[in-house]
Amino acid sequence: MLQSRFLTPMRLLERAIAPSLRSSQSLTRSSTTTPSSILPRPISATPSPLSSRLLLPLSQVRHASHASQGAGNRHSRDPAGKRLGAKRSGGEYVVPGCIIFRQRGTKWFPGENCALGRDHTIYATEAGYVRYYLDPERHPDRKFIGVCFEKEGKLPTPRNAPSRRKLNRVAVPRIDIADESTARSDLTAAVGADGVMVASVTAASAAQGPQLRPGYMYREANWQIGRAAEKAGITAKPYNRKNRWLAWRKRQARADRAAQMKSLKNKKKAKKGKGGR
Amino acid sequence: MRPLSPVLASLANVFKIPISQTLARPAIVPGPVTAAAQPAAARTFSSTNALLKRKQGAKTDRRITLIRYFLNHPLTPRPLRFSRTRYLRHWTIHRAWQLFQNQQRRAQTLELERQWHAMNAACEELRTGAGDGGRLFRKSMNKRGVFRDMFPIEYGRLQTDTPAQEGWNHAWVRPERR
Amino acid sequence: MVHCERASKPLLQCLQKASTKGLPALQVSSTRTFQTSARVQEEAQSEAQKLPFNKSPDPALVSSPRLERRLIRQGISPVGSRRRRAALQGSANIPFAQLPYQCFQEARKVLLQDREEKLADITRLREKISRLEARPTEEAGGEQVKKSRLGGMQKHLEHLKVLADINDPQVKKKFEDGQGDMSKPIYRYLADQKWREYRRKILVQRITQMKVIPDVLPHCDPIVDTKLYFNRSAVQPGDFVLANASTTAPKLDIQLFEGGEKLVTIAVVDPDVPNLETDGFDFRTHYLAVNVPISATSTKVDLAQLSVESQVVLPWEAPVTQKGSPYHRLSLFILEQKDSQPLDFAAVKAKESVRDNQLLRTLQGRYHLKAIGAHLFRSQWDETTLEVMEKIGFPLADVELRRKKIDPLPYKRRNPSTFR
Repeated sequence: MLQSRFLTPMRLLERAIAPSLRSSQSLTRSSTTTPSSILPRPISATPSPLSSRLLLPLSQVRHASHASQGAGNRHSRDPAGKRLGAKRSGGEYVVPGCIIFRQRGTKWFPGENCALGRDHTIYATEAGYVRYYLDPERHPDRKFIGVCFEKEGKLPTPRNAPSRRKLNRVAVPRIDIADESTARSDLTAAVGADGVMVASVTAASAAQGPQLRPGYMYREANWQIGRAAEKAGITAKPYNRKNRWLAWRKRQARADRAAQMKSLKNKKKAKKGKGGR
Repeated sequence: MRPLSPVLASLANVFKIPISQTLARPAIVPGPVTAAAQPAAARTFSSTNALLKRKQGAKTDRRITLIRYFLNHPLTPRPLRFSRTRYLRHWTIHRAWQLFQNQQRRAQTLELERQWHAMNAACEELRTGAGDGGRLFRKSMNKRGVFRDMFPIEYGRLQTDTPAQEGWNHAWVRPERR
Repeated sequence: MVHCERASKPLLQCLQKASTKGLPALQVSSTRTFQTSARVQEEAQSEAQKLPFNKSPDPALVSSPRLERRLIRQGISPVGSRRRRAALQGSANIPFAQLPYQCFQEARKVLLQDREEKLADITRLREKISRLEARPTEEAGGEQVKKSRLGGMQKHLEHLKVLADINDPQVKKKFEDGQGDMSKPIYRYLADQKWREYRRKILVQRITQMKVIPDVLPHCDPIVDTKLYFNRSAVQPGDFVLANASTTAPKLDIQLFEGGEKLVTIAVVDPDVPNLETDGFDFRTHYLAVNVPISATSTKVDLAQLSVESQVVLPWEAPVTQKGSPYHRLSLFILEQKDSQPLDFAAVKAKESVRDNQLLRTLQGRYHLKAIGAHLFRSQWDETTLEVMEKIGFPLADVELRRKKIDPLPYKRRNPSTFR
């Protein structure tokens, strides 16, 4: 179906090209063979070989038999290795962030001073020496990878022993971030006695009538426009929930509008559909 | 945004779904803003882009919406509501029933134990007190041939806790085969 | 509502009179009345004989808007909803125990009979215990045997005391209203159950997940409910507390679920004081008090109000966290003293005068303490820390901690011959 639809413009193109080819052919042939070749030949029955060869790559289709070829080969059954496994062996020195083990799923669990990455990679969070161990008190059949601070240290530590941690901090004179930011930022607004100052420019007072507004419009501020009714002394009727007549009219109007929107939407869709096909 | 049909809109209103959320996928619930994440107080003009700045209404979890839907569905029975006193009365009756059942179970167990001990004592008496060196006891304990040569007559009918209304039908005879 | 009330009033009055006549036990058992409104109604009736209802309306029964308004103008607000008050006016006001429902009454009979049995059991067990106590030790089979038997019997006795009252709806109602008398075993039992259902689980989770349990003490099985208040606001276990809020000592609410009085030691320990020399963490004791009496009925302990002469060994020191240091876990432990015997305060004070690196494990071993309660709050650098540091004279106020840069490992070619 799709193929035929795709082919129709090709055929048209072919039809357009064919006469010129034929004429050239006829010219060459006319000199050698009979004039019978001048007679128009049925195009659909035997299209010219050159034109069909030209259009071949455009109209090519790969069938299921083609796609299935190569599926039985070695490389497709046996994908490339993902280079999983231990990157650091037991007793090796690691620094924070050092990848210790790559795995699919949790074959190993992160123990002390280790963490589990997004793809279950185990990496060190402290500098130290790698240990591979079992911890039956923590879990009966999980294997853990931990990092231990001493070269000769042992893991796991007993459950009720205080955890051994490192500070990994250095002392520097304290800097207040708040001061830094004020020093750095260009846009500062300060409210003084003479109005708001933005950087070194005084902010314009909004109540002073029309001014140059964003979009290069010379008009009043939005909030002032919004208060126009208030200035003119126009008041809306207070809402009366018992006024069912008004409620009905409103509801009707809303329904009408919804119906209108719906019809518009459908029209648009229909048009689009036609255009597409 | 595409306006919803009136039916959908009213449904959304009933289930308290913000209409803008019904179409969007459930997003991650924003966590508590830590002090570190808040911008410094002195920074008055934000440099975040408009998309980030856009106000996000309260997200309703889809599971909560579904729970609400089914709980408020007209076919769902209303929850059982009792007044305080009535609930306490109900509770009293419930506790009494549990207690009563417990007492019954206990009485049954005790009775069974008593029976077992009585039988045990009788056997012991037969073994030691009969004066025949326990021969009778051994004979009675002998299980040879049970369920082999003859089927126990007790299993001739279905075992019940209480005897049948009409008792044993002694006049019963096997219908003759023709 | 007012109309229907007016219409049904004569009928209801008739019914009320009939019910009071029909139930002579009502006045007798007024101590056992379940609804508080019943008594109120009686009083209201007697009052009504003195004054008409519309002259002095009863706040528990008034239902007409006019009378309500009058009451409010007098400064008395009506009790409950108008619907409830109207219903109370029309109710027969039979006490709960005498409500005329057959199944309910049968159930009550069963429960009362069971209670009688349990009470009889209790008296029998008490006699047994006194008899065993009276027997000489040799005859009872030795010190150990006698002690363990007595302990078992005492435990069973406590259990029976709970069982005797656990089916009483009035007890249940009182407990749910928070009016339970903690001096009675049944209310203590119910409160314990409620605590264990949720709050204890949260506490245990927090102290184990935040590693307070192996860091400060090797083991703790909380049996007392501890609540912590800084400036009258409760702190959940593990909350971050602002530095200026924790300058004053907290107030504690320690609920014991056992009978009798206990003497406890209260310690607040911070296991996260950064130590740059050792590149590790130190301990610091922020508070230590001994010989604090707690019981099921007196639960409030204000750490600032304990006596300096006989209880407070180390007064409260405000916790502050240096900028950039990991959060500090301020763990509070309630440790039971052995056999509730008071410790020698002067000796303890002389010995435990240093705050730094005073391990709670050492204290526990030295004075034979047993952890029965715990609480935890955390502190970190915030806007108010600097003020507090200045106020308490913290020496390292102008020092900030920064993450130490660790040199990366040198790039090492594993097996160069296989690499091209």
